[in-house]
Amino acid sequence: MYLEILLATALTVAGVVLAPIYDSLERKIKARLHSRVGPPILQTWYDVLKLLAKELVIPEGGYFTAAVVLTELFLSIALLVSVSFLLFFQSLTMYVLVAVFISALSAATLVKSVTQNNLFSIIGGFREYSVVLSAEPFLILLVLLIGARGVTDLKSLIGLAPVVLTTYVMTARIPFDIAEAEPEIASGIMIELSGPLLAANELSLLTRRYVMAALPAYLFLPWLIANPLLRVGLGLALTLLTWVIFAVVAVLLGRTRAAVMLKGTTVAALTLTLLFIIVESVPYG
Amino acid sequence: MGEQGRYLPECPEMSEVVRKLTEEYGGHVIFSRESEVYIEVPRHELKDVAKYLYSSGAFLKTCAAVDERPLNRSFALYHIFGMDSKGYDVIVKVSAPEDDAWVPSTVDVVPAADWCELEARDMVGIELKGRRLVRRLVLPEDWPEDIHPLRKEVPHDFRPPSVKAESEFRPPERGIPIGPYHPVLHEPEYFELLVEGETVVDVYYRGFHVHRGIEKLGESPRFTYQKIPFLAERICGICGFVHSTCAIMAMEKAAGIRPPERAEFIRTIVLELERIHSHLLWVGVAAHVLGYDAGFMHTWRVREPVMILSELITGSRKTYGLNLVGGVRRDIDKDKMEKIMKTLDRVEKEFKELANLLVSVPQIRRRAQGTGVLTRSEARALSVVGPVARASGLYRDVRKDYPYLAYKEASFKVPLYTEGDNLARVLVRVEEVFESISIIKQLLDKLPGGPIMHEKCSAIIPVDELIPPGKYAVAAIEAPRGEDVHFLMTGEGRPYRWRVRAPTYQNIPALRPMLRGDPLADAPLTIASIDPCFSCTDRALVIDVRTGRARTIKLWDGGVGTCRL
Repeated sequence: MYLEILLATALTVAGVVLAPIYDSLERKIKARLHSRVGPPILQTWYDVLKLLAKELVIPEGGYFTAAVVLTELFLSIALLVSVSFLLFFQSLTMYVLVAVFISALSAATLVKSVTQNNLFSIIGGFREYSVVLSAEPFLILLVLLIGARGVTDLKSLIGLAPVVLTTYVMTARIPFDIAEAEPEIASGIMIELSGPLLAANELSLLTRRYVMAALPAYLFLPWLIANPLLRVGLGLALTLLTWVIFAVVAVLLGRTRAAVMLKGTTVAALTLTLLFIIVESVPYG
Repeated sequence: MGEQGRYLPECPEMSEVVRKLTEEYGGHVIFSRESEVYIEVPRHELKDVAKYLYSSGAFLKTCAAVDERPLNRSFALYHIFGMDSKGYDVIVKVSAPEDDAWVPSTVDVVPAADWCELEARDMVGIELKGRRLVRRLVLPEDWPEDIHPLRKEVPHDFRPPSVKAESEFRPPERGIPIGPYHPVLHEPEYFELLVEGETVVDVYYRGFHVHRGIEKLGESPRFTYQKIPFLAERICGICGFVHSTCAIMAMEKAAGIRPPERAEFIRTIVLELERIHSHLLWVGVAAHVLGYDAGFMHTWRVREPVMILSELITGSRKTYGLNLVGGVRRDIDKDKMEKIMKTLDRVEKEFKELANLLVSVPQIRRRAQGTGVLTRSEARALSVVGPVARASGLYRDVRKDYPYLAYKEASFKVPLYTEGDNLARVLVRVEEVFESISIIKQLLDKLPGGPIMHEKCSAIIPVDELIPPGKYAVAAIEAPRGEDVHFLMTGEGRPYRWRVRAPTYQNIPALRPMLRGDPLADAPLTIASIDPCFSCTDRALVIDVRTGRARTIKLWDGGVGTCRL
């Protein structure tokens, strides 16, 4: 019991530290695929620290925005904590907690975008809304389903497909970065943020990305591997692997239009989730 | 002004146009050259003349206002009509006495005249009669009412006091601003998109933020004919060689000299090299706008050898300084030829693979297809140029319509698409890259021997003495973005009037029909799809940065260059 709590706490801390490092790694991978050299492995940490050292500028009428940005950071870390504990404690309550934090985090992002007194941010907010709508309900459903039924045999692994799809969407990588879409709406939901606020925003986005990269492994591993240390090792390795795969996929794609994306993703996620439910409900043997 | 050129008809169509203009509209020929005829018509006939010419297949290249008071106590407006299919220009001049300075507007019959008329009003102070919307296009809002920079009494370094002006023009509602600083606009221009949901319903444009007064400078004592190519080259950072070559072609026409064949070949080769790197740059930027940064980076990787090649041939990656009146400054030797061939083979191979990949990325295809549509009739009405025209089914290419330099020596095809959407504009440019590579290879094969400088120009006689005053010349070049036009009226040792019309100037008004009804997400792509070059477009005026700094200028604070597209 103590070992598990200790391991879960360590995993949480590792997540916070590793997320910006993995982001640098992603930038490195992207650069290599672009035939560039790319930044050093600690670059994102340097960026965050530099932003934190800048003066705090609160955008016009944006005290509420600042509060929401910090709330978002806390929520993303809370989500990381709950997901880390998921690797060792499989009560339904844990799964519900994860689902609630995922949902609360999205809500905070939406609130953040509409509280900013900026047209681009509001457009970004609407786009964020469509991205979230197309993936989040399915992800939450999948988390709760796995929590309620457990993973009983290998055919349940078919659930990985919708989980990976929806987690990818939730990482706001290309083509699902339309809420930010720098060339179109000049960073949309982030346009008014700078300095420490931007650093907080960056950290919460990266933590969220870490959680989403970890989630496919963390949802299925506890049911398949008994040794807690092995679980941790595999969990860390698979998180890194998922992150790398997501990074490569993002390089290969272009940005899409809000309307097109909403439809395509929703249909795909719905189909895969239904397939999982059907497979799961077929009696064993 | 100037000599009464004797008109010698070169082709029957040209003589028919001249007959019509002289007999039916009371015009008279004031000057002519093999592919240009200058006809002065009474100003009350201008609209009918414009209507006749526009309906008989002419495109409006631009119009140029000239302060001719020192010569004949009147202002003049020259409309340059290009008979693309026949390969000659008809320049229609109307005069307005200095105490009654107005000309009739032709916008109703020639929509393409919209901007150049407003510019004539701003810069020379010619009033426009019969125009619904008259407002400032180029001058800033704090510029005094009665000072027109291109009038001869205004010195080139004149800085007027700032005047507080009433706001002339405001759009009725606020839209989504794109610019003056925006990640996809690499130069300051302002678009305001009025949207419903994610659909663009209308567009406002405000340009001319960056003015360097290049036309005025060219007339100033600081510049002579031999220096102007270097000034012209600095109009644009991407297609500077186009401007310097075009200015030189106009000057050589006026001087009546033709550079040696070898020099013409070298100019053509460098022009095509410039097209290749400009198009590759654009393809990369388009991929970036669509969020496909891998395409962006790789296109620029493929482009890099072309830049190195430019340095090999001219000594610089950009702003080559290669052109002189009468020839070029550097030759291409055997060693360079081999390197050029080798590099082009590599670029061709790599870009072929990359282009195939790019147009097969589903997001790119889906977003470029059917968006930013410009129909053929809209393109025709606005006389759009270059890849924008060719993607909308208009067969316009100066290289074919008015063959210049060594283009007659190369066989190439002009890519033509009828869809008029963003994808068509991508494909036109992609194909043009391969055509340009082929043109350079053909020309290198045929590169004639001989000198690279005209004998008259290499002697001690200054070029400025070769170009007599009182001559006219119009030169046009197919720049990467479309037709670039330089109009020249020679003076004593320097131009009396030098008018530059860059391709983007002609294409920006087409953005309004392109953007309307499209999703907001595609607006940056559509704006980028005309490959806008604002440094070319905004080059026309002396702006006072010191007074501008004294107060904050709000975006819609006045009618500076504001224009309902």
